[in-house]
Amino acid sequence: MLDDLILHDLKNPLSGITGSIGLFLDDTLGPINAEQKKYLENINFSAKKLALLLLELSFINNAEKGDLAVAKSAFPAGELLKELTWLRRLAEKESKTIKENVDGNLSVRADKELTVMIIADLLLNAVKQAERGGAVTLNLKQEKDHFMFEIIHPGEGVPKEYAAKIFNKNFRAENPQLKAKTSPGLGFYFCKLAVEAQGGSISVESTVGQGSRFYFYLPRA
Amino acid sequence: MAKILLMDDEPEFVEMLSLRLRKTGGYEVITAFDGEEGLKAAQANRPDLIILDLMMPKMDGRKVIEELKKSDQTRGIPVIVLSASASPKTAEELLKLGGFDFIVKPFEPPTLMAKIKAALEKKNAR
Repeated sequence: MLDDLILHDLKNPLSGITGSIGLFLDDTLGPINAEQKKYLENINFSAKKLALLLLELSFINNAEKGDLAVAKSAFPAGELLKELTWLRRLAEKESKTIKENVDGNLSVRADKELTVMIIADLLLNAVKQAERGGAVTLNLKQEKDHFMFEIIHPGEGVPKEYAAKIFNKNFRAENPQLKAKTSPGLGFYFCKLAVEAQGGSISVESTVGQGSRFYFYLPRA
Repeated sequence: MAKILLMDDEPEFVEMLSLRLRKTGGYEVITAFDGEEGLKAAQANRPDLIILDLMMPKMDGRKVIEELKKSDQTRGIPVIVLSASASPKTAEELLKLGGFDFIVKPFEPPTLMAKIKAALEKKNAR
């Protein structure tokens, strides 16, 4: 895995990139035309994906060194949604939608940064898998002892024999169609580590040719 | 208008964040590019809040916090620590040392602005 210093040296300039693009996209520097916005957004999406990857690598790095500490706090679920604005915009550009069935006032107890990263990773995968015109659904439900988060999307689905392995490090499907659309395996591995670090569990239900439901539980206490 | 001292050794990042703080937050911003310069700026200007990077030349963020806490003039200034590499364990240590809050780079601007607002409200409530 990447050394801490290398990760630091990669994340610093990325911070400058995403921050500077943000100044254009939220009109802090004045209005921009539609074409300028389109290409700046493209840079922003690439930078956000890279930022997410680096944050995940950093977490995996720490987890594999045994240096894991999660910082749980109570916060309204709406704060999770605020961090996902760029993903909604990414989906829109690809003519896909993200439907959110989340009560913004629901008080969630979790490591907020980690939980945002988990949801972002699963949503990115879902948006990638969905066809144009398709919808991805994010649900959050409070159950007796847990919060249940689920991301449901139409798509090619995951064959049963891969469902158990998909959260393993460096999993890469042997199926050429799936291989073209799956990540090298770190995203799902990160999700598993991050969910389990908070005392939760993650799983997937899928039907080939129809789509998948990724879901994870986080304990309420 | 609240005064914020921003310490970071990446000039492009400092330029970007200074603009964000001034335009979005309406804050007055003082900048420094290493820990020594930053400490002197804190003593001279008595900002309402300090935002500092953990890894800086000459004096790192941890040492700056230690020095700030030694002086009556700077002890009460809330500090938000930025870091591109620190683990949650380091974050916990820095908060125990006297840091008010911690944020990992890269971050969403609204997240930082919310933390700044919270820090200033707490300071003013004292």
